[in-house]
Amino acid sequence: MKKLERDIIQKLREKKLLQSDVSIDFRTSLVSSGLIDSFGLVEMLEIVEIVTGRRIPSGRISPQDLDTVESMIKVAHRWGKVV
Amino acid sequence: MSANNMGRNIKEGEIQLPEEDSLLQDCMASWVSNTTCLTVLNPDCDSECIELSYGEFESLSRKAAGWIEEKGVRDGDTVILLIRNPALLMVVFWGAVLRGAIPTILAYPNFKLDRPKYAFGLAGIVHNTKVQLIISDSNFVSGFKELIPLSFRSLLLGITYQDLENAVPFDSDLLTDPDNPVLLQHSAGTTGLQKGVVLSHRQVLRQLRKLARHLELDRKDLIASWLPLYHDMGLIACFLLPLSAGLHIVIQSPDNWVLQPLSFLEIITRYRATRCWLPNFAFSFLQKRVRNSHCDDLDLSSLQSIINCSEPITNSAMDLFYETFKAYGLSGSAMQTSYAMAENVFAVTHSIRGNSPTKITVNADHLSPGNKIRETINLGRRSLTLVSSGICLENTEIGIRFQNRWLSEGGIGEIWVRSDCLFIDYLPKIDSKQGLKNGWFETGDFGFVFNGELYVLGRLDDVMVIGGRNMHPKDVEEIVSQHPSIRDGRIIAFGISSLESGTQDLIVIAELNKNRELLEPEIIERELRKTIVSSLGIAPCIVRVVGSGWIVKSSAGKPARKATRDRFLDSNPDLKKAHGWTVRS
Repeated sequence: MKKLERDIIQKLREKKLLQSDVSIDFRTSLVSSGLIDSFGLVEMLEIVEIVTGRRIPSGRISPQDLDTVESMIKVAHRWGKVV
Repeated sequence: MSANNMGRNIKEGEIQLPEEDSLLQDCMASWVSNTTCLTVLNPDCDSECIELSYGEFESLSRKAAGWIEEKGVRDGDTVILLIRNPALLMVVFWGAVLRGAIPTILAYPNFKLDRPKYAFGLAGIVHNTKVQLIISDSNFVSGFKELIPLSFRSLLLGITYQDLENAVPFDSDLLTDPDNPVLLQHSAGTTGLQKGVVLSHRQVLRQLRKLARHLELDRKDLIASWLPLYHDMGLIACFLLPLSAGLHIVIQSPDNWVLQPLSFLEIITRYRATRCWLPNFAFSFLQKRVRNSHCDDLDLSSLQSIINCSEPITNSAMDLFYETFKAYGLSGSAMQTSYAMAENVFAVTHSIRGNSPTKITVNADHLSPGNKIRETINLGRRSLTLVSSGICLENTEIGIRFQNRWLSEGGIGEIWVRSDCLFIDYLPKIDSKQGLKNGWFETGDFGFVFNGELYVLGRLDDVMVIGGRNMHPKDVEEIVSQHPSIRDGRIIAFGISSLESGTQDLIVIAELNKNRELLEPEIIERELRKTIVSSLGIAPCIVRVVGSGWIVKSSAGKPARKATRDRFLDSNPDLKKAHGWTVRS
C-alpha cells in the first residue's frame, strides 16, 4: 500500500470508524460491507480531505465514492482542490 | 379527542387549495407561471442546480403525461417510478397524475443493496399492483433488466429529459372521479413484501388543505427538504403540499445531506426556508455532526416550523437540537412535532401553532396499556419526559383502546384514528383486521391523550411483558442511548419468553459510538445494566455491546427490531433453546 492509503486507514482507526482488530486493505468495501455505517460518511470525507490536502466541493461525490480507500483517493484527485 | 376548525376566516396571503369534489391537478389553476417552483441542488453529482418555474414544471409535466400516454398507459393504470434525479422524478410523477394514471414511487437502489434481492422485491410489487409501466433512469434499465423476470421486463422503460422534450404534451381534461385513486404509497417494509396504501384525489386534497390551514401556510413560505419522495413525509409534506400551494421547494438529495449535514442548514440560511420536516434521528445527527466552528454564517431565523415527525420523538433529540442552534436564530416556537401515517395520507396530529411542543414528566413504571397516565414530580432515574405530538388536525379523531373498550383521557392503549382522509385500501388486500372498523383505523401504535394532546409511546406489538409489567423497548433504548459510548438511535431492546421464569427476559443490543474513547465492552455492558436497573427497576438478561452496522436496518434506514432479534438469536442457539423461543410479537 502507498503512504496515502496507509494514512487514511490509520485515521479511520484513530477516529474509531474502524475497529483496531478489523483487517482491511485499500480495496476493502467499508460502507457496503457494513464495516462503517452511512452516518460515518461525514467523518470519512473529512479524513480524505485532511490526508490528501484537497477540499472536495459539495455535491461532487456520492457515498459510493467513499466505499473503499482506493476510491476515496481517486475522487479526491478528480474533484478535490488543493488547499 | 377531535377537531373541526372549518368556517374560520381566510387570512390575507394564506394559500387556498381546491375545495371538495376537485382533482389533485386542479391546484394548477392557482400556479403563477413565472414564480419558482423547484430548486434541486446537486441532483446527480454532475450539475450544480436545476431550477424550474411553475410554468416550466407544468410544461414538462404535460410532456411527461404525453410520453406516458404514448407508452399505452390509460386511466387508472399503476405506474412505478424509479428515478434518481428528484426534479425528473417530480415532473414524471405529476405527468402520471395529469394522465390519470396512479403513480407510486419506490426507493431507488443504492450501492449497498443486494441487486438480486432488490429485483426480487420489485417483482413482488409489480405482481401485486398489476403495474402497467415502470419508468426509470436509463442507467437503471441497463443495470437491472437482466435481473427482472421475463414476464414484466418489457414494462421497464428508461426516461430522459430529451425524451420529454420530444414528447407531445397531453392537454386533455380527465373525466375521473375525485374518489378514484390518485397515488399509491408504499410502506418502508423491513421484511417481506411492501404494502401499498391507495389514496384518492379527495383524500389527498383534504389532507393538504387541513395541513395548510393548521400551519397557516402563506404565499411567501418556502419548503426545504432532503427527504426521499418514496417516504410519505417527503412526498406529501415536502412535495405535494408546497406544489399544490404554488410554493417554492428547495431539495437536496439524501446522499448529499448525509455526507454534508451542515449543507441542509446552509440551504435554510441561503433560501430563507420557512418550513421543513425531519425524522427524530435527523435532529440528533445534525446536532452531533455539525461543528459550531462551521456555523458562523448560519441564520435559522426564517424557520417558522421544523417539524419532528415519522418516528417516535425523544425529548433529548429535541432539546439538544434547540440548545445547539438557538444561537443561530432558531426560534423555540419553530420546534414542532407531528404524528403521521401513510394510511391517513400524512398528518393526524400537529403541535399547537406558535408554541413549543408540550412535555410531561411521568413515572416510567406507569406506561403500561390499561394504566392511566399521571404527571409526576421528577423521580430521578425512574422519571421520563415525553414530548407531545400535538392536537388533531380538523375532521380528525383519535381514540385510545384497550381490551376492546375505549379509554378516557389519560388512559394508555392502542391509538385508533378516524378522519375524512383515511385510505381506500391496501394493495395487495391483506388481513381484514388491518382495514377500517366503523371508519376507525387501528394504528398498532401505543400511546395516550393528555390535556387534549397525543403522546406516542411506540409500537404496541413491541411491548414486552416482564414480571407482569408491560414495558416498551423505546424506554430502555432511550436510557441506553444516554451512555456516551453508545450510538444514539442504534439500540434494540426486546423480550424473549423464558421457560425458567415464566415471563419475558429483557435483551439489549447496542452499537458502539466510535467517536468516543472506548471502554472495554464488558465495562460498558456492566454500566448499562446498572443504568437500566436503576431507571426501570428491571434487570436485563443480556446486554450486548456490538460493532457499528450490526443492528439490522429497514430499507428506510431505521433499526429493525424483529430482524435484529432474529439475527441475535440465530447467532446464540443456546440462548434460543434455553428460552423456548416463544418471543411475543
